[in-house]
Amino acid sequence: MRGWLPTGFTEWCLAGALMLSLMACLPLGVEMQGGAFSYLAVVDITRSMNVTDYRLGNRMVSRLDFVKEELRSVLAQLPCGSHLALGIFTERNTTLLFEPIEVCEGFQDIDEAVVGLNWRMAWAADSRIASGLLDAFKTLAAFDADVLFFTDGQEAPPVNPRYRTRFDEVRGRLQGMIVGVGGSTPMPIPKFDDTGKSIGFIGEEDVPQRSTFGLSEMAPEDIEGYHARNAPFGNAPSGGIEHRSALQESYLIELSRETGLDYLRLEEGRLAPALLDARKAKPARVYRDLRWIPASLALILSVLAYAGPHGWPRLPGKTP
Amino acid sequence: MEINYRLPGRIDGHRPGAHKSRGTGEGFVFRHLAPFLARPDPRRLDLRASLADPFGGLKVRIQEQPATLKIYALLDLSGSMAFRGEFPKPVVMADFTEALAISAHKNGDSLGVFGAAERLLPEFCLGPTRWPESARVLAGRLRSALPRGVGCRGMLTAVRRLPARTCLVFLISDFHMPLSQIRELLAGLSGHWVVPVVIWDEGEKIPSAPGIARLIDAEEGGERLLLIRSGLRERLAQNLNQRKERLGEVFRQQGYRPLILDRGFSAATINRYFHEFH
Amino acid sequence: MSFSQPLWLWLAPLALLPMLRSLHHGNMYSWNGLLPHDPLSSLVRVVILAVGVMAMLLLISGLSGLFRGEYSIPRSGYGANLVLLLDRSRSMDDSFAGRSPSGAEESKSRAAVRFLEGFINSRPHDRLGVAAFSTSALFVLPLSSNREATLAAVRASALPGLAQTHIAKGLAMALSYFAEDQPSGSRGIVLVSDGAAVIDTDSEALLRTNFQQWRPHVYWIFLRTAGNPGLFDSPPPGEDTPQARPERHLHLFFESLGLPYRAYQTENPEDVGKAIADIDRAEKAPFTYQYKHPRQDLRGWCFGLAAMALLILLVFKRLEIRL
Repeated sequence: MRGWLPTGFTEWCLAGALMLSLMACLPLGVEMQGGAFSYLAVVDITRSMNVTDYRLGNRMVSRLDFVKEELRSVLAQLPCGSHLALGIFTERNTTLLFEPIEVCEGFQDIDEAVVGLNWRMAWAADSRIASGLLDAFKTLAAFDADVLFFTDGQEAPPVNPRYRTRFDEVRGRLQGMIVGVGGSTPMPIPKFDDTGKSIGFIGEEDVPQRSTFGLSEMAPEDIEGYHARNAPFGNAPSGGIEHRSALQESYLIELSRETGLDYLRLEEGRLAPALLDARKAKPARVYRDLRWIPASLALILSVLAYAGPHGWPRLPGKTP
Repeated sequence: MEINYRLPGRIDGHRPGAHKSRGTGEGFVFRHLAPFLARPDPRRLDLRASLADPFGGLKVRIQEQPATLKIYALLDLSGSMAFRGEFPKPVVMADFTEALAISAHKNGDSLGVFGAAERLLPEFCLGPTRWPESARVLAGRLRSALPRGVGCRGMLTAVRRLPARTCLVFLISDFHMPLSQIRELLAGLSGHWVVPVVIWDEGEKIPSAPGIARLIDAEEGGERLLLIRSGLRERLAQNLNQRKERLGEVFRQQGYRPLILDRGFSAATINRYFHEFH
Repeated sequence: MSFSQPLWLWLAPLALLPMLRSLHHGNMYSWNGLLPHDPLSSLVRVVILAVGVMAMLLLISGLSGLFRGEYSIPRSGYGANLVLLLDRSRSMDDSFAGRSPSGAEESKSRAAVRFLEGFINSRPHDRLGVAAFSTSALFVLPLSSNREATLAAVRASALPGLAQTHIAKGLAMALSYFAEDQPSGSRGIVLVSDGAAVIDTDSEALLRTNFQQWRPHVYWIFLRTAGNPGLFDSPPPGEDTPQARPERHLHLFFESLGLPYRAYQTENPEDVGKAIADIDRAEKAPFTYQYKHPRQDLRGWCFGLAAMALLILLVFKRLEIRL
């Protein structure tokens, strides 16, 4: 009987692999400062987000549906320890459905909540994006998370440049990005009845084509049919294009500059890399598992045990 | 070491030698009487027989002429012969060839060697010669050889190269090949006196301690993993015995008797074989 | 079963190695045709092969971070499927006195959140969903056992309110949770609101049907603001219209459903606490709940089993004999 020590290359390899595998069963790991992310995703759910100008596979989908799919894919890719909150925006308010939830534990719930996003949650038809942003800066600054503001930039009714929202007070309180949603070609906005059935598209006369609040930015003499009290914006048919919607990119870029947020145009697969950028990681204590080290060494030794020199005494073959 | 090979019958030797032959001449063995005119050699007159002949005819004694013999050793050098257990087969072959060369030299016979696997191997071939020296050199090469051929097609080639006249052929192999191939070989050797020399090795019974052995077929390359234990070893021994019997049958059908060397080269075994032969 | 580091799976072809090579020294044998057939040896060969492949696969699976996803098994305990239906109208930001909270005063929404947090934490087996409503209904979180998620959603409801109180949409949303989930065990809706609105006839019929279908227990924590006439006082005839007294008429609607229904008219944070404690007591029926096994890291198992496989291989290797 041979002794207890292994003999020969193969046995040493196997014995080493065995020891290393046993080591890999122990809880080997270190606490590290590491990459977890925290995001507040605020989604514009106003009517123009129903425009179908995105392609998903071979299907045209609405801007909102596309945002939902991209968010779900981000959710699936966020490392454990990351947090995601979901918020919605209509009129001039931003609100959260829930505060940040850990993405691995809460995956199912967050996922369902993202799927549940619906334009019918909107509590008003207006879409004051700048005000919504300002509101976000006020209500969301308390969270240590980056805001993601998904919108097509379509203000409804259009903004009167005289009454621009000022961001000077809040700039820098919130980090994050404005995500521009939509295509560059103006597209008709679908219209739905109360039960959610599609009933064609919004007509020219269904939406305010220009701001009718306050004073016009144009000089009164330039406005057709100007009347200081009854028609401060004139009485000409507006002939506008506000019933069609395209991504108002220049406007959003301007807003992002004013608010100090980044800007990203939403296209397939672009969101996740931007959000998983290590520079955006929040310092969080992350447990880094180190069992892979003994385990991979065990694998190498097992491979060597098989690939080693025990094999054939010689290869049978033809006479030389 | 010598091999006192003997033949079961007479040969057609022209050269005077040491073997019973069909030729008549100077030998000591009386074969029959013949009329003088049939062989007019007065030295062979048998006076008593002549006087006894009622017709007064002269009779001469016809004596047998011992003849020399052509001996060939056909060496199987296929991979299975590389098996080195207790008695490495190439060494046994080398010993045998060497002893044969010496004996042939003593008897005045010539020895030719054909070493073959799937083809003839020139470095293990030797033209018929009476000088044992070249056979000894060949045997030396054989001792360190590592046979690695496949099959026995070269042996068939060797069989075709044998002279038409009856020779003594030592067919040296472990005969680890299909019986049909053995029959084919023997069929090609039908005009000769054939001694099938079966070289086996006790090591082929795997007499080691119990355990796991991975066995790679020396010729085909196929492998088997065996859990060696006494039961299995018994069945292996049975298989080998059966094989030995089957081989014996095949040889006997052709009128040959195998010379089995499974414990190395043993002159005693060989000479007993030739002794029992007659 | 899934992998958290699937890139390691590219190494999976290494598992073929034990089929191509052997751990054992190859002995040259003269003719394998002589060897007897031996089922036991064949078995040993297959075992060595399988164990070798397993060892490789287990190590690679462990490196790839094999885990068993969260799964649920039914267990019995005490609890319920509760949908928390939260009013997020702007008036919830006011105190019970009906003004913006100042000093030690607490807004109605904050008070509700405070007690709901305690409630959620005290009920480990419940599955809780969160819905909210103002002018429209908000789907917030599905019925789930994730306490942290529910708490996050309830806390978010203390953020500034949105608009009006459209109670019918909210109730429809809450009922839709049951349709979506088809939960076993008792169902309940906990409505927290400081007001109500008129339910039009169409909606009322629809709600009635849905209430009858799912038969949830209904709890209404009515946060009564100073000056609101409340649920129970009968007004003088002629003023008893849904338009004038929407809260009372919603209360009558709930009572008319024939479901277990309790209304709590609360006038300060303490009342809210008492109401929630009462709900806690009431919803302690035996209940088959889904126990969620958390995601299970199987790497330890992989490496442990790989070690066992390697031990078997080592034993077989040490049994090796050479001819």
